[in-house]
Amino acid sequence: MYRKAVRLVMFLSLIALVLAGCSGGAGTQEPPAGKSGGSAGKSDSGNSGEKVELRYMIWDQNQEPAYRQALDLFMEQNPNIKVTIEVVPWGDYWTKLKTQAAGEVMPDLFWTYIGPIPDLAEKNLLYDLTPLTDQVDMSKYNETLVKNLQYKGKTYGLPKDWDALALFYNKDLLREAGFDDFPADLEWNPRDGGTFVQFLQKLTIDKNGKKAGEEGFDPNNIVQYGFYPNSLDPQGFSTFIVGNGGAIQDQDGKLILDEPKAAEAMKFVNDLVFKYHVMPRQSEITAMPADAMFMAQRIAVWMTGPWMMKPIHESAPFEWGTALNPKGPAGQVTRINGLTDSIYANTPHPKEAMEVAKFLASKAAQDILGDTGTVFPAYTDSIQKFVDFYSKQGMDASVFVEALNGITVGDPTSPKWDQVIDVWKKNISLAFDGEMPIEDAINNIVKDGNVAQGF
Amino acid sequence: MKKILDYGVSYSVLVFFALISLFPFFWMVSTAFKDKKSVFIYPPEWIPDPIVFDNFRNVWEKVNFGVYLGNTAFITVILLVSQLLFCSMAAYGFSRISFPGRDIIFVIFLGSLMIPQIVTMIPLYLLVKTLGWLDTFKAVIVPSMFGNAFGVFFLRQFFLTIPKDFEDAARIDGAGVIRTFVTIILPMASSALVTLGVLTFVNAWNNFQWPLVVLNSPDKQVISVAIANLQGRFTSDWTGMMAGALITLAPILLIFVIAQKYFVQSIHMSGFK
Repeated sequence: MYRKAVRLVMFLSLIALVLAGCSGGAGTQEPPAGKSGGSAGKSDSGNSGEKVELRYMIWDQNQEPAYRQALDLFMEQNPNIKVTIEVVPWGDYWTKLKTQAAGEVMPDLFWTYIGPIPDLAEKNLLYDLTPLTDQVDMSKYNETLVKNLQYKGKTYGLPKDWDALALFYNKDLLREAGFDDFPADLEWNPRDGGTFVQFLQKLTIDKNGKKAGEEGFDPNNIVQYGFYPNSLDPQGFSTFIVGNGGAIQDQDGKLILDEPKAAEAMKFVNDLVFKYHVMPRQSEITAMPADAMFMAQRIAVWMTGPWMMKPIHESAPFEWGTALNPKGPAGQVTRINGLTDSIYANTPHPKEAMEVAKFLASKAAQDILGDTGTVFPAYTDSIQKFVDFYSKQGMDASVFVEALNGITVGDPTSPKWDQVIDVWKKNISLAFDGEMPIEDAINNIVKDGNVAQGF
Repeated sequence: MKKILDYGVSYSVLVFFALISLFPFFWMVSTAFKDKKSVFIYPPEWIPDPIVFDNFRNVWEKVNFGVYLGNTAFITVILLVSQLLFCSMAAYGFSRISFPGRDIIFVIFLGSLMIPQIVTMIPLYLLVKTLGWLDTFKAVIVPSMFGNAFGVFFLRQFFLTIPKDFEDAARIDGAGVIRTFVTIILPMASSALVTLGVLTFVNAWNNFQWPLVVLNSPDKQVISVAIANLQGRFTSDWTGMMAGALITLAPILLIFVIAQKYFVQSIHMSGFK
C-alpha cells in the first residue's frame, strides 16, 4: 500500500518537473553575450521589421497604470518595439538592480534619480544620453533638474518628473490654536527662530495644555508637536542650509557642513527639538513615523512632498492645506528632486531604448502623467495638468509649482554617497536624540564623510 | 490548593505570552477591515468602525492575486514534494547506511547552515543566468529542490530514534534498503514528515528575496513580492497590505489546522505499537 503511494508521489513529481521545464522555456530571456560595450554595437538593432523587446524596471505600483498608458501610445507609434514594465518594490529595487548589474543582465531602461547617478556612472553602467539633449528642446525642463542629472559633463537622463518640498498643515489643529489661515510670509533665522518658530510654539502643546514657550511648559510630556521636516537625511536639511546661505558640498563634492552658514542652519534644526521643543526627537519618530504622527494629529505642520497629497486625502481624518516653506535669511528655498529613465550601458538596443526615454520625457507622455495625477511632469507645459487634476478634487498643488519657480536646490550626491549617508545617519540620529552635541555630529560627518569619499 | 496555584500561574504566564505573540495578528486582522481614514487614529481602534470589506476586493483586483496565488502554489507544491522526498532519502543514508566519511560529510553539510542566503545570492544568480534559467520557474525551484541541511538534520535525528530491531526484522524477511525505507521507516516517521512538510510549505510559500531577484516578468511573480509592491517609497497602502496578507495567510492556516489533526492522530497511534 505504501509502495503504491511512493510510486504515485514519484510519478507526480516527475510530471511536475517536466511541466516546470516546459513552462519555463517560453519565457527564457537570452542575456546579451559579451561583457563590454561590444554587444551594444554588434547586434542588429537597426533593422526595421525586427521586433525589439525592451525591459523597463520601475519601483512604484501606483504609477504603473499611467506608464502603461504612455507606453501603449508609444508602441502604437513604433510597432517594432515592445516594452515590458517590471515593478519591483522600492525596498528591494536597488538590490535587484545591482544583482542584475553583476550578472550583466540589467534592464534596458530603469528609474533612477539624482542620488544614485554618480555611483552608477562611475561603474560604467549608464548609457551616455548627451546626444538626446540636442534632439530635444531642453528649455522645457527646469534648469536645476537638468544640471543634477548630469555627471562629469555627461547627461544620464532627461528630466521626467519632479517633486518639491512644501508645508502640509492640519487645519483643525491650527483653528484650535486660534489661526483661521496659515500665516503668510513666515520667516526663520538661526538666532531666535523668527516668526516661524513663534508660530510653531503655539502649535506645540504638553499634556497639561500648556504651549511651548509658556511658563510651566513641560518638554518631557508633549502630546502635540508643531513641526517635522521631510526627514533627517541630507535632503531634509538642504532647504534650511541653503536657505541660510550655506551649502552641503562644494563643487568637487567635498562636504563643507562645518562652514559657519551650514553649521548654523543645522544647529537651528537641532534647536527645533532641544531649544524650542517644537519637533519630536529621533526616538519618537522611530517609534511612530512622521506620516503616522501627522495622520494621528500629533504633528501640526509637516514638510513633505506632493506624493503625500493623495494618501493624506484618503486617510486623514481632518481638514488639511498646503503652504510654502518659511523664508530663510537667504530667501525662499526649496529642495527638489526628479526621477529619470536611465539606460543600461550595455543594452543590445540603445537606439530603441533612447527613443523610449525621449518619448517618456516628451509632451505626449508627460501630459498623461499630469492628467492622471500620477506625478508632477517635468515638461513645463504639462505641469498645469497635474495641478488641475488635484484642484478638481479640492486639493491645492500650486504651492509646489510656486516653489519650483523659486530658488531650488537639488539633492547632494557623489559616487561614494552611500558611505556618506552611513556616517550621516549614525551621527545625526545620536544628535537628534540628545546623545551627542550637534557640533560634534557635524564635525564627525565632515571628517569621516570626506575620508570615505577619498578627499 | 497548591495544584490550583500551579495551574493558575502557568496558565496566566502562557496566556500572557500568547497574547503578546498574537498582538500583531490582531492588528493585521483589524486593519484589513478598516476604512483608510481609521488606520491612524490614536489611540488605535481595535474593532473597526465602520467595518469595511472593500479592501479585499480592491487588493484582489489591483494586484491580480489569482495569477500570483497560482504561481506560488505551483512552486510550493513542487518544492514540498521534492524536498520531503530527497531530505528523507538523505537522512536515511546519514542515519542507517554506513559508508566511509559519513559523519564528516554530515558535519560539513550541517555547517552549510551557517552561510547566510545573501552571500550565495550573487554566485547563484550568475549560475542560473549562465544556464539560461533567468525569469523561469526552474530558477526558483531547482536550487532548493534537492533538500536542505535543516530538513536532512531534522529527519536524521528522528530516524536515529527508530529502534534497529525493525530494520533487522525487515532484513530477515528479505527486504533490501529501498524496501525497508519505503515500507518501514517512512510510515514510522509520518509525524516528523508532516512537521517538516508544514515548515517546508511555509518557507516555500513565503519565499521572497530569491523569486524577486530571479523572476522579471510580472505574470511569473510570487505572492510575497506582489504584496511588497503595495509598500511604496514614501507611503504604503496599509489596508490593502493587511487584506493581502490575510489572503496569503489563509492557505498556511489551513495546512496547519489539517496537519495538527494529523500530528495528534499519529502520536496517538504510535502509542499502540
